[in-house]
Amino acid sequence: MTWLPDALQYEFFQRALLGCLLVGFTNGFLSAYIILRRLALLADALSHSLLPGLAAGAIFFGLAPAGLFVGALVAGVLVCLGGVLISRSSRLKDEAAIGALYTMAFALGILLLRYSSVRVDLEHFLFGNILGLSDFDLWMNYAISLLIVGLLVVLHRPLLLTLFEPSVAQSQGVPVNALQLLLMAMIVLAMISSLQAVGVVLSLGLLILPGATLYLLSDDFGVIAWGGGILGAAGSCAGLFLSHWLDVSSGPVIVMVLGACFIASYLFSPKYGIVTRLLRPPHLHEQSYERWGTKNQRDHPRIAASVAADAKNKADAPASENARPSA
Amino acid sequence: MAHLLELEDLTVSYNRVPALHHVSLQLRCGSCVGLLGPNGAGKTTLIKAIAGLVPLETGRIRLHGHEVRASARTVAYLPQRGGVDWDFPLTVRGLVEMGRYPALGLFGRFTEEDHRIVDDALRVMRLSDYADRHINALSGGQQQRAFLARSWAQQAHVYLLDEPFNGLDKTAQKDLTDALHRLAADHKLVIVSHHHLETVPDIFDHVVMLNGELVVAGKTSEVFTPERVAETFSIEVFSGVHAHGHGHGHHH
Repeated sequence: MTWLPDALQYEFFQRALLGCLLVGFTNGFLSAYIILRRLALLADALSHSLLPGLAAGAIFFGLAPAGLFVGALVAGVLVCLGGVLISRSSRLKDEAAIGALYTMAFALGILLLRYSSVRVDLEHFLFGNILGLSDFDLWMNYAISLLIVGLLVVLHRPLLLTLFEPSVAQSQGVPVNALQLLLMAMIVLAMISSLQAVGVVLSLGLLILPGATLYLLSDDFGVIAWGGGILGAAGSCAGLFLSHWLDVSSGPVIVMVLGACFIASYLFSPKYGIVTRLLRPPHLHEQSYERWGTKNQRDHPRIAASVAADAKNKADAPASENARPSA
Repeated sequence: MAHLLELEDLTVSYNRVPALHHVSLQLRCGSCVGLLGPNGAGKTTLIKAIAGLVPLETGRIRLHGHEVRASARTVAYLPQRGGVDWDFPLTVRGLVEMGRYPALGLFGRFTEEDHRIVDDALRVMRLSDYADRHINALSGGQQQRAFLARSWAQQAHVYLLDEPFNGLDKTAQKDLTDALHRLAADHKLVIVSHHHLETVPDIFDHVVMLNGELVVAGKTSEVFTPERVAETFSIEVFSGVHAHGHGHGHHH
């Protein structure tokens, strides 16, 4: 375990760790809202629509981070608003409208990158490099994290009403449309803030995996949101250390760590895991006897037979039968 | 005289086709009102108009003499059960507490009074024993009552329910009927869209019969007659079936 303090003494690594904490927590916290509002596909679309913005930013402002930031933000917001506009003013649903727009945006981005004179390292934006965080990147992470987590906490109640039942929320006077747009804007911002860390495509993993993991573990919204934030931060840091130790690039490792947590909760979640469910008895034996058995067991031959078989099993193996305490 | 919901000259259109055409009527608080009519008669539209969910082309809606706006907490809208995400991480108590959100605003803390109102709502809707269950672990009738309890906690005066009896078995229907009657007895105005004509006299003391336009509104015992039902259901294409299938045996 000597590698850990070694890495920590480098400034670039400390920056990377701070970046991981900020980006991981913010994305993980927002993740709960994305899962519950079923915005995962929309977030995917938005991640691709950032590309032309980055390209345009590079063309107009060079590779200055501020220019890239503004470009990506404008592109994301335009696709969002355009999608909402088209879905409201036509019979298309919003996922189709946004799907149409984001592919156009992505194609435009590729053209811009290929035929512009600016040399942009495409791979850098696709996969990020958290070890190269600049001061601007870190300040941006701070600002965006503060803004997003702050807004989500302040607007917790109206957002929860909107997420659960938009029409009821609207009838209660909640500005449902404005909140949904705000949520989209927050997704764009969160994605931009994780660009440098994990890149365009992998930022999606940070936005979806923590919420999806916690959604399979808990029935409490607070636990899903805050737990998602903590899991996102912890998973990002763990991924960073792991990638340093393995000497591979950090973005994919961070997403793989979060992905492993997701698969584990899918399989082994106490309540909703598929393996857990398979291991459980097919029905609630004791409770069923309590409800129907005592009343019917004398009259119903099949239940009587099963009760007799149970009693026999218990007599055969009295010590190991913890699953069926007493009939 | 002020305890009235007044609809005046209401028109609502979708793509220029009117779903409701110049409807005017008055409903008194403390009654349980059934909205009847064939598919496409504007039952859901009328409910959404009162809830402030669709823009009015003409007309206005007043409660206790004041214009009802979209933000009015006094009007509670209950969605159709199929449209709700029952996997949402929420307990019954959590759902009912949502009814207090509009009154509390963004930061207002839950006070003793709020908890008392929530407990009261759970008790009135006979859900106290289920308060800590996940909303998915309720039966259909209990889910309806959970939403009613939420509206109660919102301290609503007008309850709007869109086809709540769909898919409920006999016991659950009786259960929901009792719950609605308790609300009406507490001087609330309960407005329910409904299409099982046989059960109308058991559930509703007043009916509003719609067919895009208002056919008739009044006490069930006075206006819910075979002739009126035939009139309501005969203008639409499917009317023949409805009028013959349901048009008899409901009135005594």
